[in-house]
Amino acid sequence: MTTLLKYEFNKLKKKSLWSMVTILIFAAFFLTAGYSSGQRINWDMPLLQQFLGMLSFFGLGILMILTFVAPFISSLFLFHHDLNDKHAVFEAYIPEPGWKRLTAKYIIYFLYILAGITISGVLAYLTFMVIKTAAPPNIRFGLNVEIASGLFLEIIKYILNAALGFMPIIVFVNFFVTLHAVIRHKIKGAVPVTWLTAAAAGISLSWLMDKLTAAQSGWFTGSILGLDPEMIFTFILAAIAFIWIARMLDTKTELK
Amino acid sequence: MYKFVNGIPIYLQIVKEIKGAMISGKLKGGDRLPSVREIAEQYQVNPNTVQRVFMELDKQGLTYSERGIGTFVKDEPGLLEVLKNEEAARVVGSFIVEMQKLGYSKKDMLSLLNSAWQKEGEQHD
Amino acid sequence: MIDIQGLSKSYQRKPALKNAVMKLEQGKIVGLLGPNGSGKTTLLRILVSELRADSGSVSIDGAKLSPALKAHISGLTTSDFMPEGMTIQEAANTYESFFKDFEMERFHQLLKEVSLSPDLKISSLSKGMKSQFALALTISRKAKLIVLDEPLDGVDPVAREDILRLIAAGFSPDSTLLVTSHLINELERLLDEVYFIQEGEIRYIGDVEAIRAEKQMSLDELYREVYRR
Repeated sequence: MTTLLKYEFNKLKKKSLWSMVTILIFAAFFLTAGYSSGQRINWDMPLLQQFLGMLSFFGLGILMILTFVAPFISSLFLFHHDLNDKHAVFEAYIPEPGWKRLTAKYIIYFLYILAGITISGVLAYLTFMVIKTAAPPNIRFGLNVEIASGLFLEIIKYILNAALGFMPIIVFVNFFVTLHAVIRHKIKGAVPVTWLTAAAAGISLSWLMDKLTAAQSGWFTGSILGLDPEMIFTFILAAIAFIWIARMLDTKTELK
Repeated sequence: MYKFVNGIPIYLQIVKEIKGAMISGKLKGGDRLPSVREIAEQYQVNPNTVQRVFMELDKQGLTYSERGIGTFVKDEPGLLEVLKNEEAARVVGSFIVEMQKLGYSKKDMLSLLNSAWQKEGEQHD
Repeated sequence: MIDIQGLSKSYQRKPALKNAVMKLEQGKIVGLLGPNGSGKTTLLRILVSELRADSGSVSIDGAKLSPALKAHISGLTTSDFMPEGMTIQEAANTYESFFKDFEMERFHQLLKEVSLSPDLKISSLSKGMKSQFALALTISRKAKLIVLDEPLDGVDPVAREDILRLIAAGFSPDSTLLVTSHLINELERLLDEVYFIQEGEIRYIGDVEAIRAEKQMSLDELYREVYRR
């Protein structure tokens, strides 16, 4: 298992190291720019300074969204590439059962998403600090230790929730990616067939969910740590999809 | 890449090569033959084929093997003569067959050989 | 002993492999020869789990094809199969970490034979070098079954000779080597036994040296004779 984890990690590192570094460089630039030029932003400042200040906070906002969402989306692409790229051949040779290979991938994806959300959170915190120090002296931020620690716990909970919430979506999309790889050789119209099954599954799933949880809230507001029935249902479905993908990897998937 | 002749087993062709090396003195009595792997690599052939080569050489009494050390050319007096005679007989045999195909009698053959020998001899002797 | 029984495979109803039967003994280099598109690659890709057979079975020393059995099968169906951006050494390390039968020492020895440095990036290799690297990686595993698909395809004559030399030097009598090619002449000298294939149908031909001795023909000539219309 450690071998698989190491392999998946190396692959991820090779794929996303440079985009991560780029993001961090941009973040550092925006933060310093925001700090120096945004200090006591007011309309009497030179236009360029105002512009720079606005730009850096706008940029920070984009980076926060990017670091939050990108790992989720690139995880989906990573799996797709694992089934279709050149190295798919090598992965077909690995003498490990599908569930182990899949678990290694998901652990890495999960940590990746977690890292992304954490970076996003750190950026939010730093932006807040910059705004605080750069704000005009007449505005005060009342934040004592108690509120801060409570907020901290909430943020941690939120990060975990968000990361876990992403996982079922990844599992479901991966399921259809695998299904597509399986039927590609048998049916010429594999792409529309996969999308049709995906759509049908999606519709029936949402219908089931509606019935189950009449007026409950969605994944990201509902707490996973609280485990409401909707989440349990989703996780059971994800578990079934997981087992199914693992089985398809072992006995059914074919390469182009 | 060494060119093998079609229609003759490869191991026999390698055996012939090695015999040739013995006759020409490239391989002397007591010399160690290259390993199976080395010969396989040299001729780009299957190691199993080389194994057959060694068995054949052994069968013909030209080599002996020492476990874990290798295969050696036998150092027996007269062995080289036997090989030379064998090869000479083969060359002469095929010469006669070819000449007969051309319709030469023994007498014609000999006189042709004599005159050719004189020409060649001037160059070589 | 590798036992292939009644293996069939079709793509979108077009049969590519029809009821293939083969028995491969340990320590032998076996050729599967036939033109492009005759089904050779399909068979090999089934053996390395890149494709799944529609029917029939494959077993190695009695064990059926499964994820665990992959530990005993080493395959080469394309020379481009490692994740991007790796050096030769990194690829070898990855191989070593997954396959217990990988012999790093042998791999380095084979690299030296074709003068490739382990520090080279795979993406910087020429086509011929890539084939040599991939071949060295594949035959450095002491697997029960090693399959090579068209190892001579698309490589210039000099590199071809190197590849033949690598196979001859790297072959271990503990393995069975199944190799396909449409270049019959070039491969003939390496083979113990041979099967022909045409339009998905496999035919056992026999021991190569025996064919040379008895029929006094090369395999290429024999192939033409067998499939003469």
